Amino acid sequence: MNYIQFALLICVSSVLASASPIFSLTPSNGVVSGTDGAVVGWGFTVTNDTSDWLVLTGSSFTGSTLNGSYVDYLGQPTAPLYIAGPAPENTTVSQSWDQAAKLGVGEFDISPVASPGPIDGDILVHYSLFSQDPNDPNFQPDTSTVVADATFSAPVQIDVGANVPEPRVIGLLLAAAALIVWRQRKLRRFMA
Amino acid sequence: MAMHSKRTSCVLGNLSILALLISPIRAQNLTPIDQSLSYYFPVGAAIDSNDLTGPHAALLTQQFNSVTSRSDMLWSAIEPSKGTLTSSTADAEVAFAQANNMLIRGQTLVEANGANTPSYAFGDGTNSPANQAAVIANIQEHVQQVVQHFGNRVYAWDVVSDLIDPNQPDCLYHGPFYQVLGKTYIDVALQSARLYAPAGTKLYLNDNRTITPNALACMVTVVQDLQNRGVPLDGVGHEMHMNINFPSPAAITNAVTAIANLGLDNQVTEFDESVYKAGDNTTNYGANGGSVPASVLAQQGYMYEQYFKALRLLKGKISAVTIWGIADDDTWLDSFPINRLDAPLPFDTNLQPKPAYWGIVDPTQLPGWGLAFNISSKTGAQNARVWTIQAGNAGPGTAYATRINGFTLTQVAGAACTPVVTPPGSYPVVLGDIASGSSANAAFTIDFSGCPSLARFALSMPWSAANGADTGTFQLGNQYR
Repeated sequence: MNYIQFALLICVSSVLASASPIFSLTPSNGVVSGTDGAVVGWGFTVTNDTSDWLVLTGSSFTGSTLNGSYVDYLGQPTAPLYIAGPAPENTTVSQSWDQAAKLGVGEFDISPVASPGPIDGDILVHYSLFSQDPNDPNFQPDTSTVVADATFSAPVQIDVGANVPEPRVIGLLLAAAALIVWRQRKLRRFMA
Repeated sequence: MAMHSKRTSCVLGNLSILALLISPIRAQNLTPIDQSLSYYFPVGAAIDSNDLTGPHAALLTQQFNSVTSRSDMLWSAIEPSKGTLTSSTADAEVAFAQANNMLIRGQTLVEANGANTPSYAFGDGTNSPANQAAVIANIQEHVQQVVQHFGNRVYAWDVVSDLIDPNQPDCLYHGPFYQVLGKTYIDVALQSARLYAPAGTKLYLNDNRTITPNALACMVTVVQDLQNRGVPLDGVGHEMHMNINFPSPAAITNAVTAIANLGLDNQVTEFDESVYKAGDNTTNYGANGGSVPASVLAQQGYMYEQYFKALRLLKGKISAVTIWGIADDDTWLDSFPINRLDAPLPFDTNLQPKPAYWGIVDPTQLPGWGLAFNISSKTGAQNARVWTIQAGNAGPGTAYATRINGFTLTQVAGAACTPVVTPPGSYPVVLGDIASGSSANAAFTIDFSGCPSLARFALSMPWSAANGADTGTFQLGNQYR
């Protein structure tokens, strides 16, 4: 092993040793949009290449709530158990946002009268790390807890758009306009 | 209530010159209050003649798009003797507003309690037919003089203020006009305003008590009676002089919704928030050279946030909000209910933004907004497991009087068991003031005897800060012991 190979080995080893879980929201840029009264939300992907097992446990929103409110899914008693880690678990776990089933990270309920524009903030996602798989029947939390509670932070933006007329309303407007044009033409013909 | 105060002359000394040098520079970077609420309603400030020049004028025009003359349109100020209008001060205020493209609310044509009203208005004070006719004529003449003088420069008038008294069987305050004319003085004032004001001018009844259920019910009764008798009325003004602990934001929602349900408009006409609790007529933070505690100002900021969030949600039912002043250097609450230091407005005595300002414009700037909780460790044996809760404050500013108000574990998996939680002290568990960038801990001992290793729990831990005005719940799912 020459000097360069040795240096590379050290580098790779140190990278591996400092590997840490990676979390991303879905959508990955954290930007979601909706109009007044809409409910928007985020799914997630978490990748844990460490030798420990990671369990997602909760989330919160740090931005302004003047124009809406955040609802955490992961901290609810009904939240599924998401574990990312070594076999037999998967190192990567993904969950798309599902409002009806309350699956994903959480939802943001845009105020029914929110002013148009972006709402910026971060979503903090809590997780625990264990040196033993929590799905192992012999799991012992008293001795295997590595990190009781840590957080990922991901920037998010809720773009509140201006309300536009629903298709039905647009249809009615078009019909009304057509009726007016037809009446005017008929009137002109009558006058002539 | 239409109270008024005059800024003390000492403010116009060196302090004012300093403020002139500093304030506009800093204020230029501030989001205007009216801009932050432009989607919802115009936002005004009550002013007097001292606000028309210098740093107050700069702040006024930067932050607000509407004005109300605090005292210069009141009967005693504008028509102290019958038939003689003394409107020069009010005219200057109106001209200032017009020059700066600001809306102008008029206040008040008739005060039910007789405050700020010259004695001639009541005649001899009796309900003799002759005096009744004289008082009707007085009201009609005054209303005509004033509304015609300002014409369409004033878009809305509080025609009668402070008319409600829930302790009276007819819900009306039995003041000097009432003593002469009974409830019909309200009719006379509203009918005169409709008759003499330009078409489209909005007419309001205005009262401070609509934030309490009994008085609100009374206002609804009075308004319905007026509507049934065909008396012209466009809406109700809610003064909303709040206290640091009263009322709840729901009171705003209730008041506005009740009036909107009658088909009428709402305006908030005199909003401010004393730093003292309702009914506290003795405390004075300014005694012995003291000042209002920063924790109280933070608390006020969170209350402003909640109040203005409630107001935003009432979009479409509220057409204007007026704050009863610009900055704490000029507030009627410095002399009501006693002489003392108060700080009810969004800007401080140096015209700098307070937490109250941030509560309206951007609550993420409130002291302690970045307060967050986590479980920093789990240690110990199964029958005496210690979960250490850490409250970390990312700022900005201090999270005051932080408390943990409960700690509940709900089992979500595993054979049923009953963990017993022992908090570090009785609830609320006091964590105290947590400076920006600092943290505080509380250790909860939990006896998990009988709980299997695979048992999982959801934690729910309600907390509060800012003297109870900032609240939340720290909740985590899928917690192993």
